[in-house]
Amino acid sequence: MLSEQKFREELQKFVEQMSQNKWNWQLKENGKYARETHLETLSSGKIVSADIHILYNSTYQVPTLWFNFFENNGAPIPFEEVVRDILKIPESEESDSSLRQRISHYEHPILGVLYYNIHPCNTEKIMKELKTDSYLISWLSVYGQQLGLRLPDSLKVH
Amino acid sequence: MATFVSFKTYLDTPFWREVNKRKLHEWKLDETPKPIFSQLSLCERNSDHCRLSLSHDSFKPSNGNPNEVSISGNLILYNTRESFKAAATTKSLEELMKTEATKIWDVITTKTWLQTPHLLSSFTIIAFADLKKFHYIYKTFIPSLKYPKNPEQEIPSLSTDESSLLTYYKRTLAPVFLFSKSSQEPLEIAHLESQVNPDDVLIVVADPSPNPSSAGRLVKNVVAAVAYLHSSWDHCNVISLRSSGSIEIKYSWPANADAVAQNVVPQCSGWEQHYSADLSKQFDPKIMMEEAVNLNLSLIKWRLNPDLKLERYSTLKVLILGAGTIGCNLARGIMAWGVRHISFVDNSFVSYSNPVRQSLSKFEDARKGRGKAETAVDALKEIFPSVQAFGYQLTVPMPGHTIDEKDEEQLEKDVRQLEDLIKNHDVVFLALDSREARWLPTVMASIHRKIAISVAIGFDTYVIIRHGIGLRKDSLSEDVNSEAVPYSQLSCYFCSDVTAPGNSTSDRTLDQQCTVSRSGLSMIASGFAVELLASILQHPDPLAAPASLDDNITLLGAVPHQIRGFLHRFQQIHPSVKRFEKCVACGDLIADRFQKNGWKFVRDVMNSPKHLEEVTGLDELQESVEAIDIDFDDDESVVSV
Repeated sequence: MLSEQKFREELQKFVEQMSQNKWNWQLKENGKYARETHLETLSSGKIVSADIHILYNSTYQVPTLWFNFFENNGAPIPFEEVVRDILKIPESEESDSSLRQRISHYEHPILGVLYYNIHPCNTEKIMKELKTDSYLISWLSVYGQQLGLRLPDSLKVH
Repeated sequence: MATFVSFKTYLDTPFWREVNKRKLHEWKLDETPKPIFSQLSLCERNSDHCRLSLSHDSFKPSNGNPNEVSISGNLILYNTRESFKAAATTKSLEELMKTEATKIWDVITTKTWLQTPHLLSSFTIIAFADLKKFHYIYKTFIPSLKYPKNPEQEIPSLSTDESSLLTYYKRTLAPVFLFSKSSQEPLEIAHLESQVNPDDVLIVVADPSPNPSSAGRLVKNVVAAVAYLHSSWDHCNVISLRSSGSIEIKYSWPANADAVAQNVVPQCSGWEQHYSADLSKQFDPKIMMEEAVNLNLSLIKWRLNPDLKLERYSTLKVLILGAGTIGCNLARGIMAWGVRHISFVDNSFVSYSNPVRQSLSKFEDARKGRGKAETAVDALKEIFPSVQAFGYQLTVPMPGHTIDEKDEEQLEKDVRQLEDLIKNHDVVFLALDSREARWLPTVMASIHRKIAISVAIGFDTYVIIRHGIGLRKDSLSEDVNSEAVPYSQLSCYFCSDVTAPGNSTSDRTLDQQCTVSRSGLSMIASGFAVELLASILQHPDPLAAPASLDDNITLLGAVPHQIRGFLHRFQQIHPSVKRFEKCVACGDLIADRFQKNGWKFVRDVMNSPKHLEEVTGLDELQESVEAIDIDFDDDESVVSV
């Protein structure tokens, strides 16, 4: 578990570290959350912008990943495309896939627009199994992977 | 030929939400340009364009970020589609382009850019936002000057180390600066004026271009400014600075070939194509709810079983006979499963005892004495505006409720209407408050092969029965040795009766007529009935789902024939019972007689329920009960699963 203050400290450290590694993460709302956005090509060839946020969840006291994918005109891409092209979960996959179980669609707590998030109920357990120097980098190496967010090689967690 | 990567605007839903908010509360009818800001990422690789991205925070300047370059622009939001169209005619677009080009040319000719290089780039978005339908149209303009004409480009390898340039950029966030080859140091762009030889300096431009062999359009105006400042130069060396993978480009042009008069603004380009967006799903409350309901179901599907057939709920038409406590709860349950078409039949009115028990009526409905069906329909629509709900104030004809000759015309109509309703729906719930009211719908549902589910409650007991599909005679050849009783062979609500339904309310005192039950009972029974339907519909062939407690039989598990519960012991059983040949409701002879005589048969039954017993031969059976020892072989007629 992570206190909110600790989360903010870690977030700041994380953003700096990512920035040095040419990853465009930014602190938003005075360090309340961090945002990264980049373009992503779907299987149809369509290019969409990915919007990924790290927010603090005060119930579970862990970071949570919020994300959505938009066409250039601002419309979010359909859920099926998120599943197929971003999360890359095959139709036939067993239903106990951990991501399948934990993905939800809620109003973003700050933006008020529907975003996806990965439910944090399992985060603490997973984090306990990881030896970490940087909490957020370890955490993102698990959760970001599912969104195709590869960490810079120099920051890979072993 | 030198190439420059053009821009493409990427907006997101939070951007439009912010536009909605500001338009409604702040700008209102004000059409003057509003300042907006975009952060262009210097890390982009995966695109054919430079990305001009805008989000909810684009309405205030950013603090700056070492992996981005900020540019500022204007949003012109027109009040009507017509004024947008007028602004988007070729002539208007050219005018706007000229105005913006002139601004940049002024920045160049007055040398202002040497102090404020940010001014070399700008953008304008013209847009219209229909805040009723949440439709948006917009077009972006990012001016780039065609000056000097026809430059050439060469890409040598980088003549300096990009990391020192990035360090300088991180510190100053200067979008354009110099790198002196002699001192090997970055310098402010203002030092360009005193340079004599173009090969002594590198002009460094923070560039969002993702292309490894071409700079972005931002660089074009910088080259224009350099060529204008040093009219004797015929080339310059530019570093297109990116977070990684910066490139060096040598631009050259015929010297003095473009000795333009100072007061002639060069040609300009930079309009993106029109884009439009329909964000009703994101912003229209009614559609948002629809989407949220659907998405919630998709998540169930996605988590539970990808093969779950949600369309079997969303396309289903359900008829609920009886808009009382059970009918209301059934409607709420199926609505949450995605059923969109729900019809109620009820002939009574909301009374003061109803609202606390019925989930679709309120005090006011009782005070006004509104019809139950109508009240339930309105409440459903209030809860979920996208539901298609219909109410019918109709009296279901009942055996034993004798009818006068003068009412026969009405009876004929009622019978026809009820039959049409049953024909036009896929599922019939029998949630009427008396036994005999369930008779005619049972007959009709069986004839028209509908899923019919009877739900009934006592004081602390409940029963849910799904009636056999279709006529008994049509399915006798099916395998009857199987453990699971085929759907077509399941008994109806009346099958176990050896007397015909009569007027159960005629000889009763008031307290017996009134259904009194434990108050949680209706929710329990309705809940089970809803889930029984939900499971049946997930059988590969719902109309052939046998009675079975095998939890692999459908994607949602078992599909029992009956669910009988006893609240005083919190106990529940799931018997399967086969159809009774001589049944007074689903028996073949009854179906036959109804199909032949229609409403007249119904009239005869209303006037004398005994008629049913005569038709089915039940009377003979009753007479023989005394004489013959009937062998009720449990294994044959009742299969306990």
